Amino acid sequence: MPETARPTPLLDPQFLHRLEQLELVSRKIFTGAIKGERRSKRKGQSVEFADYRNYVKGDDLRHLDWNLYARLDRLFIRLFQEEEDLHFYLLMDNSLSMDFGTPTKLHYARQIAAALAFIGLVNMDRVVIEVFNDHVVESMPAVRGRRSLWRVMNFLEKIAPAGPSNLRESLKTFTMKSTGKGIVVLLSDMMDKAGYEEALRYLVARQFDIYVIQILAQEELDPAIQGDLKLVDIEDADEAEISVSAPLLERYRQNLAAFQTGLQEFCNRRGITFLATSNQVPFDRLVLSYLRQRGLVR
Amino acid sequence: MKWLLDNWFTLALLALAACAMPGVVLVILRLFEVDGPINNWLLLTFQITYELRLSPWITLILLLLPVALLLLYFLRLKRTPMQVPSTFLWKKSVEDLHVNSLFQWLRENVLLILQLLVLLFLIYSVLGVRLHGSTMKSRHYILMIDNSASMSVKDVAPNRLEWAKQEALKEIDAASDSDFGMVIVFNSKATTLQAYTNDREKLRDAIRGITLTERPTRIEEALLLAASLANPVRSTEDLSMQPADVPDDQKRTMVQARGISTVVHVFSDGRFAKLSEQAIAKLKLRGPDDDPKQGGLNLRYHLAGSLAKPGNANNVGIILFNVHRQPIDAKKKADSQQLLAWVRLANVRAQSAAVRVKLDVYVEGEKRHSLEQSKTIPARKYVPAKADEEDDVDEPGEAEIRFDLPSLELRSNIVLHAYFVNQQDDFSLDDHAWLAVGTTRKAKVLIVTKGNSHLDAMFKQEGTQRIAIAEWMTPADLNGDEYRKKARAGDVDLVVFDRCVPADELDMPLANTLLIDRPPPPWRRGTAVLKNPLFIASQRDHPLLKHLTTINDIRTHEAFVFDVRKNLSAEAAKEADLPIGHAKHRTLPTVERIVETSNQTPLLFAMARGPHTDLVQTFPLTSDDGGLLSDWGLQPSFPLFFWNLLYILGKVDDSVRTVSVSPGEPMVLRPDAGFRFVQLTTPDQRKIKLPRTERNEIVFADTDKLGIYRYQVALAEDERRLVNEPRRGFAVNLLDSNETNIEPRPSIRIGNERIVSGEKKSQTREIWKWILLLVVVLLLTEWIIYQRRIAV
Repeated sequence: MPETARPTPLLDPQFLHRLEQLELVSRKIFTGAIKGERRSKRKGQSVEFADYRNYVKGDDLRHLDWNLYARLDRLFIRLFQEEEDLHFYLLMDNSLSMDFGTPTKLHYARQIAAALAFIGLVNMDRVVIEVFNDHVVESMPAVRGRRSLWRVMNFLEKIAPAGPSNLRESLKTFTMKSTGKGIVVLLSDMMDKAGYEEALRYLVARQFDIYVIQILAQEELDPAIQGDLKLVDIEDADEAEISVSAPLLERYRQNLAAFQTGLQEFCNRRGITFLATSNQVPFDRLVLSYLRQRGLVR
Repeated sequence: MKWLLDNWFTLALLALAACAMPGVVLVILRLFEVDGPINNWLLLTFQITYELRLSPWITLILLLLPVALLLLYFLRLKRTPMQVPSTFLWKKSVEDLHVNSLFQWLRENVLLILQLLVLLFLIYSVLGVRLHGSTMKSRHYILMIDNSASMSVKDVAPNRLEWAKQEALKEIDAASDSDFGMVIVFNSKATTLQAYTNDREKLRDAIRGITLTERPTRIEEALLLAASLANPVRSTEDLSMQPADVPDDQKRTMVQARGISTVVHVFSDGRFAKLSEQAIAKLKLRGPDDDPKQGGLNLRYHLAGSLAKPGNANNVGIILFNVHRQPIDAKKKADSQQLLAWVRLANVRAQSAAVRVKLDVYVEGEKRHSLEQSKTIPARKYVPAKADEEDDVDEPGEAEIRFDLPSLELRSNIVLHAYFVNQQDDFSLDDHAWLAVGTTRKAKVLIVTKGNSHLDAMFKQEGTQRIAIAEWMTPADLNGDEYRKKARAGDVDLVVFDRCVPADELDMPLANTLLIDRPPPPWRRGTAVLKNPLFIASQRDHPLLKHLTTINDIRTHEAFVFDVRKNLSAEAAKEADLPIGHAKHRTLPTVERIVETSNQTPLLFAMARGPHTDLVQTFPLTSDDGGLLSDWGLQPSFPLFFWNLLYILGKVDDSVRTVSVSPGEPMVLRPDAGFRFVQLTTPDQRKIKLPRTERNEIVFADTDKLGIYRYQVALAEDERRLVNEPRRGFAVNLLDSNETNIEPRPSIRIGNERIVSGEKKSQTREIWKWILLLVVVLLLTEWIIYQRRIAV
């Protein structure tokens, strides 16, 4: 379905209300740039006591434990568990192939992105959205806080399908320019003729907590086509002439299953969480149920 | 090599097109029926000929099929474009499939080539190319179809003839292309509609063209025709001609008869008269065990009609209609005649039939009297044959009705129409009968004599005057204009030259002649004479000797000896000696001896002179002084002979004699001498103008329709003067008890052979064209299914 006709708004208020109760979970503890609501590796200023250490010159006198000084006549600094913000990267594929299906895969990806971004914003995480096709097309600067929601929405709304896809190049660029560590959610159909392996390796190398959500249209999963066709690739106008027959369809399904299994295995081996979904799966269920099961949100 | 591999598909298509081209050209030539020259050329060059085995439109469809297939193929190539997110998986799938099946890349193209090849074979199979000079065994068959009147009965739908035609067509279908068939249609005559041919379309056309006639059935002629056409006798030395009982030492070496084993299919209701002995003697039937090389007819009888109830057919009919002149009662008017009509009726129902018969009397075209009588015709007697050798006892009930007609004017034209009133039966053609009672045609006789008391007595008596008008001349008149005018105009029917003849051959009259004691010029009466010759009749059954039993009693003083060669004048003899083919060569006529003496010297003989007959009597009746030279004039045979002479050579027609013929039989009209033409009206009101021929008679053969044929004789060319001429007529009647008995016969008898109608056997129909069609359908279906479901 063309991008011009959007079936639904990205997020409706009721759904937003339910999302408010969720938060993003990272299986890794990262260092944040600014204090946030997450426990950081670093000790910092929070209410949660962590340890004591000897005062050294230059420490903030506000953290001196005066009670201990009175008892032991020695200066101790109270160390607290630092609570930090989280880098939450949303990588969205906007190549032409995402402009397919009803609703389009891109729209579906936008909805997921909006939902996840909202959760991130509510939890004071640093939400970064990167849009790519064969290169990183557009980036939304990191935003935090609920009040940035409109910016996120605005940004998502403006994403239009364009260009061919090149996962490898795009992710390479992303890994090189992004500084922080955190959660990376890759929203794409993963249909790259050059393969996804190298691209994902870039992410793995940066030790991101990676989630790959493969979005496929129902037409891709179970093609209802007939007759003699000339299939034209929407991205590179590559043609494939087929005469649809039962064995061919069977072979296609097998290949698709094999492709997804291959992707799944690749991800599992590298600690990447993989989730395949179709545009027919209700979006709220995906977020509230599937992503919860996968442990992205809680 | 690589180029070949790359372009093999195009090359194969081109090769196929090249192979198909001759076939296509041949088919098109045949479709436009201009295949004669090419067939001849093929026969001379390659010993082959061809024809189309399918009807033209099917062939045309077949021709278009390869084109359609190619079109479909190329249409299939025009795939619908469709956008997909990625062709990535599709390509992979297609490749996978390709890897799975060997030569997959060849598959669809090979299929197309194969299909085209199959179609090409089909086209050539349809062409039916035949190799000549091969030893292929061919059968010969003759289809004899009865189209007589009784075949119009509708006991099988739509009628017997149509049924017979359908059966005959099936027989043609069952024959192969190498079999030779012939079509003979028979009624009272037999006609070959199609001589031996293996072109079955011609045979079918001949069968389809057969129509019903109203004629009776005579199978004899048809069988003899079939026999002669099936097995023409090629040599008298044939084995088939060898008499059975020849002593061994007299046996001659006979060659094996090259008879053709011929199956004769007779499609008839079996109702025809028994075959005559002569016909049976000439016919040679072949049993199933006989050597087919001996020839002979293998008869198969196909019964047209249904045999629901043997011995009962719903029909009554008139089988005889005759009229006699009653002796004229002196008290009645002299110019009136009293007629007695007889109608004989037959009933072929199993129960008696009460019928009412009406007789309408038309005088000069107007209905004057209508007589009616009722009669009960007894039931038919029918006993089926018990043994195979016996015939069924089948006697239709018969009854006779006599009508005494009121006295009618003698000279008027009278037509009698006899018919059943309110009679419903299956066969209507025998429910009517007609008779024409016309005026007496008198012979016009010219007698040239010096005086002959016998002739005077003969022609001046009242009885003779009723049938002949005689005129007298003397030999001296022969040189006069009056004679010449009469002789050349053909105004007389018979000229009697008594001891005189015209000097010149050219002065002989355009009429039959009786020459007494003189041969006709250019022959001369020789001096050789026979004294007291013995009278022997050469041909007892000659019409001129009808009723003459006392020829032997005639005595004559002398008779001149005639030899067709020796008595010829010197000039004519020279012409006769000229070689045959010479413009002036004279062919001598045959002398037909009627009465002869012991050494075959003719005493009374006939010679043909163009359309006329010269009858020569070699002895005088009286001498010039009136003395008696022969006692014939005193014998009872003399007036009888002259009576015959007047009827035959003088063409007397006393009307009640021959006024009815069977349909299809020729009717001889003998108008008055000197007529110009005859205007004839058939029962269906067709007007036919029959011009005069050299003879004073007209043979009218178009008598297929039952009913009254009326005609007027024009003495002048002007048609308007016809109005005043008397109307005459003749009738065409079925009057055939075999046709009236419409019940079909389950078996026919030829001599001692009984041929039973064939049991209903399964026809070996041709199914190759259906198989052909099936192949085509299968191929196309396979193609569609393959493209839709299986293939890539």
